[in-house]
Amino acid sequence: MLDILGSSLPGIITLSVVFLFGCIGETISEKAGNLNLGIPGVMCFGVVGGTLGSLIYMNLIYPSMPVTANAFGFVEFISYLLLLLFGIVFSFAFGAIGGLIYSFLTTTLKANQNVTGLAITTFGAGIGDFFMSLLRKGDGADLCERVGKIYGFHLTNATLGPGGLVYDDSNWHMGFISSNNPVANIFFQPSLVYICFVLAIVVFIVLNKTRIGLSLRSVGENPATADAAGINTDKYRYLATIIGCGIAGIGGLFYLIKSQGSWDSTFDLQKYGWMTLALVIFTVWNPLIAIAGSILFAFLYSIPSYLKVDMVTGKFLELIPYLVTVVVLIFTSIFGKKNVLPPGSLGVNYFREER
Amino acid sequence: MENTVQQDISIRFENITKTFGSVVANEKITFDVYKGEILSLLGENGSGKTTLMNMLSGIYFPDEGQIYVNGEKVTIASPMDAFRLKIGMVHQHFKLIDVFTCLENIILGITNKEKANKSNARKAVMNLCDRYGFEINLDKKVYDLSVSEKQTLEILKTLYREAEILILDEPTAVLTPIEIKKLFSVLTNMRKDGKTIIIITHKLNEVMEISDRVAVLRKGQYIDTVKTSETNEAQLTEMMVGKKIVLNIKRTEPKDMEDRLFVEHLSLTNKDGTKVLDDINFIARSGEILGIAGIAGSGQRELLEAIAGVKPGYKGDVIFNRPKKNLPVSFFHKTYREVVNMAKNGAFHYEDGTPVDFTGMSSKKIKELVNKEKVIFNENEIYNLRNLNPRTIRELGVRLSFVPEDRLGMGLVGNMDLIDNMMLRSYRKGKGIAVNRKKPEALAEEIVHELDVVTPNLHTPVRKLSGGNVQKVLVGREIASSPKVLMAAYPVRGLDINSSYLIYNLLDKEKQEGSAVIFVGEDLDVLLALCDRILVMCEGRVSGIVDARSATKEEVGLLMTKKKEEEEETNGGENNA
Amino acid sequence: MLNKNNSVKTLPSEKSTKEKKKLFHVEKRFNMATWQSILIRFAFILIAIFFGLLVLTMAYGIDPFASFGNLFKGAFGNWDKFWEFFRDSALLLGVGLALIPAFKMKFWNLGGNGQIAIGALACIMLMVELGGKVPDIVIVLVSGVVAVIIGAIWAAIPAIFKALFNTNESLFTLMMNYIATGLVGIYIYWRFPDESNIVPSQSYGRLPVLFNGKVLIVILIAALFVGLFFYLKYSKHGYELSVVGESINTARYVGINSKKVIIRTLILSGALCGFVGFLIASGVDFSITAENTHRGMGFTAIMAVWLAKFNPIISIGTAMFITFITKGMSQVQMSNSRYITGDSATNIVMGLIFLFVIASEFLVEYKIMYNKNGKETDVFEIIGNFLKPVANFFKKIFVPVGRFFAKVFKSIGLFFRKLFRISAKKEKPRMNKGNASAKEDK
Repeated sequence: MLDILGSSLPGIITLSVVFLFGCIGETISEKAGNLNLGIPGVMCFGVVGGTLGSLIYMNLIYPSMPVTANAFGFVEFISYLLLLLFGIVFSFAFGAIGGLIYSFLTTTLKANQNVTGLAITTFGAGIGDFFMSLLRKGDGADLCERVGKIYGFHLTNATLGPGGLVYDDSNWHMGFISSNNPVANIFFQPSLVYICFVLAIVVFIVLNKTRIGLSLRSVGENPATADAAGINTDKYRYLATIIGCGIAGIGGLFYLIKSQGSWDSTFDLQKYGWMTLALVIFTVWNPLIAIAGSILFAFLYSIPSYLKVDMVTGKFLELIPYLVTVVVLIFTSIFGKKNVLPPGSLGVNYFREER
Repeated sequence: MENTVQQDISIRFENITKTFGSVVANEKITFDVYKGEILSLLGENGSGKTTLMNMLSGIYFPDEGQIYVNGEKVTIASPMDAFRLKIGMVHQHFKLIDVFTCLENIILGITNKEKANKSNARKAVMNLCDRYGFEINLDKKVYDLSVSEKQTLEILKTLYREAEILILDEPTAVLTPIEIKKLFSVLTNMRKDGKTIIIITHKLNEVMEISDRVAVLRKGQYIDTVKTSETNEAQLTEMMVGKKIVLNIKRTEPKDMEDRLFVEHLSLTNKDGTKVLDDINFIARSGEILGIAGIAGSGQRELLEAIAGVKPGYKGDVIFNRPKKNLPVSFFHKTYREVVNMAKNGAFHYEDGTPVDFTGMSSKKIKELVNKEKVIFNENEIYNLRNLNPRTIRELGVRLSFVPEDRLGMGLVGNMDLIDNMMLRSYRKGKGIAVNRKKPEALAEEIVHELDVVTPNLHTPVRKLSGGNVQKVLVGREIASSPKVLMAAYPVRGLDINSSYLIYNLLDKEKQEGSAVIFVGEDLDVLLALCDRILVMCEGRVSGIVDARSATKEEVGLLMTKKKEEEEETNGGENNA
Repeated sequence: MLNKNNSVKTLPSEKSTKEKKKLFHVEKRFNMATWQSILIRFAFILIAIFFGLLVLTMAYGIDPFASFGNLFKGAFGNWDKFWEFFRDSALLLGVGLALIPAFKMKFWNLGGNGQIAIGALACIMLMVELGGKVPDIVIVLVSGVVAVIIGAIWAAIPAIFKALFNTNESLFTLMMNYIATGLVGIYIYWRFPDESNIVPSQSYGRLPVLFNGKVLIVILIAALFVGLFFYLKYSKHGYELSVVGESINTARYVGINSKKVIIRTLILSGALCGFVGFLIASGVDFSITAENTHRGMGFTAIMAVWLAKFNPIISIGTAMFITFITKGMSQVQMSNSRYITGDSATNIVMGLIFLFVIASEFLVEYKIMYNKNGKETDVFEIIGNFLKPVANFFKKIFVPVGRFFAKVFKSIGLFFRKLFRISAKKEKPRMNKGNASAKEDK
């Protein structure tokens, strides 16, 4: 059992991070009152952005970037960080564009949130499929795989050697202690994993302990009150949705890492996106719970393939996250205290001069 | 308090105009508010008081005109601008966030980092509490607060933002007399501190009690400002309504009075555990109008809703005495089996007075007798309507009509046209699954014709009609079923004078037709002029029932605050400024 | 008095900010003619298609005009395609019809996909288990009924929780989609472990073929349409659900049990989705996969009926339009299959159309006021003044045509009403009642 856990944990955690990025993003957006059903589409935007950013970097800025060098010098290390940055910035920007469209339609044009979200999902899926096939034309596919692998590098695998940083990737995913030590495996992950967990904590603090978070939550709870208190509700809804979508977009990039650069279609990614929406409910809009929740979801989702159970059981295990979410949804609606209920004006647009 | 002469101008409105679509809410309003005074902004419902103040607090922006604060031309385009000018407003519907604590609500929206710091804020707010005499627990969540605590929190919010000009919109509407007294002492403290306070109200006694000067609005127009010490209630009323109220409401003498509706020991507890109705007892009689008076929120609405079956879950009985004595029985509301059973108990007689006995008769024969109206009730029928829903009440054959306070939100469906709204009560009539729109259409046509409803056609959604026309449609529908009991909650609220009189006349006509009419009103003059008896409510209890022909306004006003009489001996509404 | 005049007079020079009014300003619009709103939407759809094709063109150098031709070829290229177009439109319309009652009640049923999938699953299971053992027609009838029931149950579960505990229905129904598709997957792996994620094509229990395999579906949906149209417009249930949708308080006021109405309406909604699932399984696919059987119609249909403002008649048009774009774009894709994979091009164009139409909705519901020197004018009015001659021209052409069609439809409607004896005896209720109590008992 421990063996299985040991070999499956890295995979689970990488998958959980896809969920977690999406979940954090959607939580921010929902806390501001925007029920963004466009998250699957936004993640597709993100994967396009991330790929594009990385390819730009690798094609134009640093074409000779080594992929699986055993010796990983200082220059390579810096260039790795830069590549990471490019990927993150681009996927964030593309995701944010999705959020911008959504906010423009729902906040400025007061369109129905459900319908807008679904439209964004359709559009994002199209964009994702279309541009990913475009980007992977020619040697693009090859590059993508390289990107996936490079991102997969574990920062912790780089140690300070005689010629600068030395990177050892002989133990893919397993760190340098032991390939079968589950505890070790928890701690040796692609750098984005740490970024994501830190992000969850930061977002939690910002939402719950700061002035900005207070204003943002007030916009989601009761925009009329927030407006009267002098908070620019439109600005907060815009920013929350755009930033949220940007973060979800990074989740799209991480999907590419998870699949190690291979690409089939947006099908799986969309599925993860929908799962993200379930996760937000499951974690009662709390990014800290979301860390555990996303790992649980990823565990339930990927454990069948590690456990080598038969397909029927496996498929059933895949169902569990949804069933659990439904149960959580029901329980919070029956027994929920006010602080675990959805934000007061979730899904409702605010129009000031309505009388 | 002779300091007003020397005072500087705090706010000046100049030619302020605001329209909403085709409705002019404020028209060319010009007046001044002095520094360090309490100014009452007086006007009837819908006279534009709140709209004007909303423009001062940045919720709305004036279409025309200019606002000056401390002599400077200012633009108040958002609530932020208002804060910057140290203007704070406490809205009638509190703008608080339920899931936040009091402290979080206080610092919400403050941009200054120092001030938004929670521990700083806590200290400063405690100071304010000491200074003006507030009591509040800052760590309570707002959903746990009482109404007056919420109001305190709202005032603290504005004070913490260093407001120099404080606007209170109908602050006393939701408070008990003790709480009002407390509020007024706080306001007086604040005036001593040099703050400018504007109170929006339509209650004259409070105007006289607390304010230095009174500005009066009528139908969106500014009338005048007078010093409280130099005026009296009669003059203010005249300014408010335009002319001395010579209410020309038709009141016919009641005839054929019969006890129609018995409300016995009715108590209702809200979901949050507060008692809204407490042991209500009264009888409504046919052929008379029973008025219900009381300060807003004393349980009038809940009482009517409970009787109408809209708010089930109450204790006590609502007994309807259905006038059937000496009228023939029919199969319209009674099944064959019920009729036979009742006959067994000797409930019927024939035209010649002999008791009905169905034993040995064929069912065909019985049906024939009933259908020929040969079988006649001995006595009235008694129904207990306790916790029945409106549909069941209707199916029992009890014709109970209810004109609710919230016209478009409850009585009518805004997005449906007149015809569909006519069917709301009656759509289940007739056999089969299909609705019949012919009768409602005819009814709609008749109502439009008889009550002069201004509408493009019968297919216009009612929300597009003006307030008065909406009310005509609603009242028209409710009286069309020739009700035995007609209940109307604030039926003239927001209506112009002509529509109001039309409604009064309709109610009086219903009374003549033999309905028991229950009328909840807010204007005591109207209640005294229209009703036969007035039931006065105070905090969910009946504090008295008076004869409207002999009772005085003071008498009723006293009953409205009766419960707190012992503690509030001086609360007579006299001048104490 | 002097004091206040002075203080005002001295200060204006300091801060003479002119009225800070925004250049543009939004107001609610009440009066827009139907033809205007149609024109706006139509214009936006054209823009969206233009943009979509532009993207494809820029990316691949596809000839946009040829693509435009392909759009039509894909939908109406030959008789087969022609009928397929109608069949698919009908199926989409079927789902749309299922959703309309729920949406009219403001119940966001996002679970169409799941309800279709579970209905199709029930049907396929019966086809597999009963195939060859009982006559085909029995299978068809039984599976139809079972699919309807299962679909209804699937929708009723979230409805019950919504009615009793006010559980968020959009999230609940969304989850039910995945549970349904998961169950389909489980069935496939349980019953056909050797097949790759698909039930092999079944030859027993297929829907009877009438003329060709498509007509019957169209006819069934058409019958459904007529039924639902009358249900919504003329039945007591239909009336009740629109009251509940408009205002729960009003429902309470007249004694409508809104909980019952919510559950009942969702049972109808789910039943119709289940029926569509049955049609797909036994009339189109004869097989089932976890992810593709519902074709995403649960979502597409939301767009279709939302564009139609939940009006069943207009939904016919929007369903056909969406099907047209889907079919047409897949043709565009096919002719450029070297570049484009999957249904990406369809999704892009469709997504753009949705987004643009959503945006256009704003112009229909609100008017933008342009503020010049303190005078406000509707932006449309400004544009309209430029376009007046053009608009008049179109008005001249289209209004009579529209009136003609309206007349035709009205007479058809009248015919049906007569057919179903919906009209009743004319009887004027009286407002004035002298002997009211006597009147009631008659």
